[in-house]
Amino acid sequence: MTDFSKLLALDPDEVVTHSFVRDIRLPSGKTLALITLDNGKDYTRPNTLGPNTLHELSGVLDRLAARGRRRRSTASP
Amino acid sequence: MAQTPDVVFVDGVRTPFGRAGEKGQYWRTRGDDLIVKAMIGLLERNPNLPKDRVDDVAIAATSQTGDQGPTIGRSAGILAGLPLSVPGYALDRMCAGAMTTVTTIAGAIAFGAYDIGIAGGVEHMGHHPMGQGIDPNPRFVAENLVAADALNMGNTAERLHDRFPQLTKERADHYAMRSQQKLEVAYQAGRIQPDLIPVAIQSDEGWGLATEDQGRRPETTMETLAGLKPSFRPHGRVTAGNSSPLTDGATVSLIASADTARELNLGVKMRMVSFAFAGVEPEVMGIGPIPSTEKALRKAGLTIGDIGLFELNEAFAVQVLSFLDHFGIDDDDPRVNLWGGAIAIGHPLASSGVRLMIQLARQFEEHPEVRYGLTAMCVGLGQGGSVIWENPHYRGRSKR
Ligand SMILES: CC(C)(COP(=O)(O)OP(=O)(O)OC[C@H]1O[C@@H](n2cnc3c(N)ncnc32)[C@H](O)[C@@H]1OP(=O)(O)O)[C@@H](O)C(=O)NCCC(=O)NCCS
Repeated sequence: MTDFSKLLALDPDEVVTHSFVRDIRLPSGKTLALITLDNGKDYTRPNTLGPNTLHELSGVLDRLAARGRRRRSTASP
Repeated sequence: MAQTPDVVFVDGVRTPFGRAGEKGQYWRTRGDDLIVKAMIGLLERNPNLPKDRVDDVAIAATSQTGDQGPTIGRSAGILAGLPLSVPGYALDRMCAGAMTTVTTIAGAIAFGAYDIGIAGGVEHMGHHPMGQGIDPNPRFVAENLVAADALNMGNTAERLHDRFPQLTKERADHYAMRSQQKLEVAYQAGRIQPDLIPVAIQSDEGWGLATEDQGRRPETTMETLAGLKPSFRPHGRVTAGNSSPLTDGATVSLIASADTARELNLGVKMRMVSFAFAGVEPEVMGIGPIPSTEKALRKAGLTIGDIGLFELNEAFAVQVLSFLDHFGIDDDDPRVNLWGGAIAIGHPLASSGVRLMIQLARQFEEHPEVRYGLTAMCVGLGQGGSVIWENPHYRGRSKR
């Protein structure tokens, strides 16, 4: 495990852009996990990608990748 | 004398519909963004159309304030990326708004002023509750011109039950249950989804995508419907189950002259045959589509027997039944609302007319034995609107 704690502590005032995930049902019947980035502010304060933001996104991507692998291995032919 | 140009319905799309109110999928979506998303979807689906060829954009909304504000046909056109040279306007005929944008654009095409136009409607009933901000003229009541409660559509539906005792609550509930079931079958078969333009939506759980109509209740039974309380008067018969629900949504269509559709290599889904609007007593607005349909049939030189498919807006079950009874059509007639109607799908007032057309157009493709179809709807303050369409896929009558 890489230790990012120093990097994450770099900017205590970081406006974190959160990585949200919602499942979308596709016309094919399959499920798409839609990731959206949102800092909760309006258009006057666009999303920015600081260390905490990227760390959160990385975690979400790992979780979804694991979920995708699980699904593939359980999916019937 | 030069011939009047044929007017055709090239294509139509809509947003998935959402339940109005805080639990609705569009609570945090602007009303104008709904019509803008639909319009972008329509333009993307028809890449052959040079955007600067659009002669006008007519968009209906019953409430034309706030996020359905400044001249929504113009503002939505700009937001959807149409060139600034393309004009636009807003229009209101309550529930028949979108239907009227289609007939108005069609009139301009038939006159030769336009080649092609965009027509549609939007209503975010969550942001714009019915009747909000209106100030009816006191003469309506003072001079007994219109009953004070006739502005509440539910009361007008109750009056239809009063006036036509054969229109029982059981028949209304049965009709409503069938609407839910038919829509579910259509969804399962993937008949509704191809004309839906997904809309990005926000919630506390982040952003998502609205891809389906939210108000469907496929599990509806006669028993659950019988248990619902009357919504509009004590001992009444009109309930949340046999009414169209309060809904957010937008619809939009491309209307062209047949020559222009051919020139630009656009598809043709329907040909307009005739249309009519008519007025009735506001207290029984639900019967409005009867005289408007009779007039549209007369103008077309057709009879009701020539209509092979009906798309009737289900503002209230009882109101559709009054239409069916008048024309001697059975409650379960398979020609009527094949894929369910507004009771199950929802009824975002000014947008519903084009939703009827979108569904009729799809059904025409599947039914080459049908030549003519009807889209019809009732309108608040006592009106009805009807448009008769011809099926370009018609291959002659076969035995049903
Ligand atoms: C009829 C009306 C007043 C109902 O509003 P509402 O009470 O907010 O409706 P809801 O969707 O919350 O439904 C009320 C209840 O009935 C239930 N219900 C509705 N449809 C149902 C169905 N098909 N099966 C079972 N239950 C149903 C709901 O679950 C809800 O129960 P709950 O309160 O226990 O959750 C409203 O939909 C209305 O005004 N419709 C007409 C709109 C109109 O006039 N349009 C213009 C026409 S011209």
